[in-house]
Amino acid sequence: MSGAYRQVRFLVLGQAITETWRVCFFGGLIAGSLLAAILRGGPNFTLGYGNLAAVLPLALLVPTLFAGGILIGFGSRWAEAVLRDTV
Amino acid sequence: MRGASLGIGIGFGFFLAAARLTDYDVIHNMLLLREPDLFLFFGAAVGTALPLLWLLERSKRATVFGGALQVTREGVQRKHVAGALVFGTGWAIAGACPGTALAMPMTGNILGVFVIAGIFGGQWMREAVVARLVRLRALAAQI
Repeated sequence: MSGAYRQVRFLVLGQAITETWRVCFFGGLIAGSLLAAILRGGPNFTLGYGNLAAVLPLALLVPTLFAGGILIGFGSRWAEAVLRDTV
Repeated sequence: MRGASLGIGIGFGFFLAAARLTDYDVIHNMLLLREPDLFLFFGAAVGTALPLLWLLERSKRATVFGGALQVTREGVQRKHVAGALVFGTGWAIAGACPGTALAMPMTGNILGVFVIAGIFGGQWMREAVVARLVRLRALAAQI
């Protein structure tokens, strides 16, 4: 999954994609989750975020989620082979 | 191969959303061990994949990628532990992993886009750190 994000980043930045199948997987995941939401009566659009939104105002929630995402992305690349022979 | 990847992605995304893994509270309760059924869900996935991978590798049958399946085996290394610690911290904060974060906006959870943006940013940051370390090592080797 982490590799799919990387390939999509290459695509968005106009760089060479080395694994096209990962981009297809990325697109498929979006389509599949949308299909599940539609079958459940359509996406229920909200600015809420479960219990986290109950303790954090939106102005704090957004940077918190972004920071959480940064850690997820950073950690996933750290654990991958990108670091082989480097760190 | 692209069609197979697309189909598997559709199936994966469908089940992530159908199982409500896109819901922060579901993941949060799981991490607090209040919803142990999700561990059965993960266990079922591993229990299905493990024997299938073993059989595919053993049969040496060509996959959609063109060659026989070769499962890479690595021992636990520092990078795995460090990466898992950072990844897990982010998972606990955002209540999402790269897959569920992508499915979040599709189910209506608009704020999931900030997690997705963070994941792209975090990956870029890690690669920038590695690139800098490589440059520093090359410089040190010249001195």
